[in-house]
Amino acid sequence: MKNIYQPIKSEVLKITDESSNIKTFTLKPVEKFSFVTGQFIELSLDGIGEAPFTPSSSPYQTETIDVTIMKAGYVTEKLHQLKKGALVGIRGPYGKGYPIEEMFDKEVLILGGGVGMAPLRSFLLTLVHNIEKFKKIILCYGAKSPEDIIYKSEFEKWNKIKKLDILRSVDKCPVGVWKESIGVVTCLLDKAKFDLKNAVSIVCGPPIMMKFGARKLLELGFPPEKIYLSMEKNMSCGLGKCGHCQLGPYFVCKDGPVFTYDKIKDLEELWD
Amino acid sequence: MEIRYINNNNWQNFLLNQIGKYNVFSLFKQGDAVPTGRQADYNYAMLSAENLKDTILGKYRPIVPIKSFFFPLSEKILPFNKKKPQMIVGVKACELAHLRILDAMFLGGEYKDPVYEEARKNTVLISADCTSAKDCCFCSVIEGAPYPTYGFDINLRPIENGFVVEILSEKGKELVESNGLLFQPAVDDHIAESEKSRVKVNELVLKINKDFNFAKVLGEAVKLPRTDLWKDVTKECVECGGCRFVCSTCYCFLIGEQKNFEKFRLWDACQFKGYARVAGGANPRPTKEKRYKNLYSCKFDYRRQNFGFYACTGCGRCIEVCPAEIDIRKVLSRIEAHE
Repeated sequence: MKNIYQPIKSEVLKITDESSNIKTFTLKPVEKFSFVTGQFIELSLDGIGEAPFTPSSSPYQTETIDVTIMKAGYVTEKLHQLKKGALVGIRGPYGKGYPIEEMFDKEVLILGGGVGMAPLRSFLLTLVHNIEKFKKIILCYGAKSPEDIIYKSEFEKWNKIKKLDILRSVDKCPVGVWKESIGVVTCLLDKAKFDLKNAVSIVCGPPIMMKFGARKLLELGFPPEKIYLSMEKNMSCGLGKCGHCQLGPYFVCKDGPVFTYDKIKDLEELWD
Repeated sequence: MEIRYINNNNWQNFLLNQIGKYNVFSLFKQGDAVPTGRQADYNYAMLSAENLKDTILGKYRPIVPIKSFFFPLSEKILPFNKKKPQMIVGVKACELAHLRILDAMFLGGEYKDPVYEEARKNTVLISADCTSAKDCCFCSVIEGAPYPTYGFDINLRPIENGFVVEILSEKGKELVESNGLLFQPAVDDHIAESEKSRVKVNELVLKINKDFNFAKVLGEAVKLPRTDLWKDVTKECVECGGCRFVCSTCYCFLIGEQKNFEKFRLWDACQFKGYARVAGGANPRPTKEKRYKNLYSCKFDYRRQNFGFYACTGCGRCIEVCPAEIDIRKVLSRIEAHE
């Protein structure tokens, strides 16, 4: 039987610069690898370390997977130094993904911030692949500055998709450079048009943005069980064993990373 | 459950027969390493024909946590070595309770940890009733007792000149059968004598803990924020992590990478500042009082929700090793008293 800690070797086929500190790595695993959108993987660098990431590609893209990585610590720093052709290891997929079926025939409001757009790209591509099954998709995305927006060229393609509304904001920017909204991403929620009675919301971003995003969605009238949050904790084994990603009685790696707000709203340390 | 009797001499012969078939670990008095002013301690050592005469069952558990046999301080997990079958002799009730938690963590859920499973499968557990208690023992006040009721292959109840032998598992049965001549039927007097000893030790544990009161606290009261209490309790905590490392229900580990995508793991502990920190620096438990409270939530609330039992068995090791003399029983009593 295969050891649960055994990674699948994967070749780095392509590296795309998304912003000054974010890159997308296109990986080709030597074995077949599939996942449900929202599930995550443990990506290892030989002899260096391992860290959790959620694939940013569509699960319908089966030959390769994309992982979008922000330089934020030791492992990611080393990952950013990788060249095309390098070998990395991937384990997984772990956790529960987004319950797509529960969203059929609904309006799906996506709220993303910064590199939090990575899992949301996978999610969005999954929705787009099944676009006839959804009423409408609204994507609200915010980044620090226009330069920090990731998947820049893809937004142009996404803008052409019927049934997909895209609203974007940047926290700040010099006058005249940016024609869209300026302000924190939650301000986009006031502009977004959706039918509250038939909508679900998906949030992914830095903790502070998730906190205020969830709060704003509640104010707008979303019931807690219709707010899906993609939680970030220190998932290390991915298997519900090592303890690091404990969030109250849950382990984010196996019980999440996607939680509805009602499940976790009363937990201490939720946003820390 | 089958019951037999074995006299002291035959027990030595039984052990002698096992040397070679198993790596047999049993208890010995640990002399020099006992810190001044603390009660006598035991340690496990590999049994041999030479040291057989010195081995004892121990009046109570040793300080070395039972997890070390299944989940050592540091070990290779990818790839991992198969272990020679091992037999552990003298395991106490609180340690079988520890293994119940470790089994739930490592073997429960969607994935079984193959390294732990391998060690667990290859181990025979010969437990024994406690015949005394340490000042820090509190099993009887936290849903336990100083004698095993589950989780062993063979249990020994020490009586005058020998033991009442309880045989619980198939492994235990085979062992007794293959050494059949050494065992005799247990008579009512033997059993009555062992029952009397059980009552006596249980009363001793209750007496030791008569000043502590936390019957109601477990579960609900531990959920309250009580920031001031946790700050006060941890005033002298030096964050050494000793309490977590001797705790056999602490299963947390850190994975390390080696060349050729090999992996090892090390014990880790929620009391260390970097434990839950994520890349970029966010830390759900940045202060020691938050980390210390987390340990109570983990043991008395979260794991109870997950498995139906507390992840604390009253073995008292955390009390014994703490350089700041933090006593989990005092803390629980303070929570109970809403101090």
